[in-house]
Amino acid sequence: GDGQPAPKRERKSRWSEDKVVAPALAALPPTMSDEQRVVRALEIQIDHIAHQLHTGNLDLHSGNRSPSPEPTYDQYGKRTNTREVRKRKQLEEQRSKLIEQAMRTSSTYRPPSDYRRPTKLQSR
Amino acid sequence: PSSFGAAPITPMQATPVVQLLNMVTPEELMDPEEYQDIVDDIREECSKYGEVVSVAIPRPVPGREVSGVGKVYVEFSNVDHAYQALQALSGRKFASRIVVTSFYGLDAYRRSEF
Repeated sequence: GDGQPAPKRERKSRWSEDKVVAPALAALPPTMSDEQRVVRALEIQIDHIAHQLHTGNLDLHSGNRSPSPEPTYDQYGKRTNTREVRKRKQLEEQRSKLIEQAMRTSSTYRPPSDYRRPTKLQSR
Repeated sequence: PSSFGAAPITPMQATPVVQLLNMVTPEELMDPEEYQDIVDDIREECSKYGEVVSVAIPRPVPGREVSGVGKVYVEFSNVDHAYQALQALSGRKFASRIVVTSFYGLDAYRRSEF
């Protein structure tokens, strides 16, 4: 290895090439307040996740760099923690967090009708 | 004359600074390596639309309230470049999140009002 350049750290860009085109996604007007813009951006992401969960288009191959856990099965021998099941759970949790963030940001924000406030004690 | 959907942007409202939302989380910004990667990703992509003068990404500081965490600001050398980026980047995905853009006041940006 003489004269070889030092290896560069591999970096995969977080940008994806596809672009979601919808009227709601045009640049936000400058007349909106900063708070309104933040809530609007959160709403867009909250709706997008709802759409993903609804259509089953889960974007499985992005952002999931954790190794697969040991498989688990239900009483009928059906696997319960497939990549899809885990991704769904992750998206549902993300969506709840974003809804809670929107509620903290603006007192006038109304959460979607399917949102359930998390209970303090969760039985497993 | 150019417009975004229903609300036209007048030249008065356009600025050289673009605010990008839905890009980053506080957890990602706490990690020094990840933070640097994010800055590089944003600078690299934005440079396709014009000369990037500066990038500001407020980072969380433990035990202190930092305003603007979660927002990203990119200053271009002129309004036209900012406009190109604004149009091109809205609706693009960054780390699987949908990017939302708007112009941001240059004075407020220079005063670090994030």
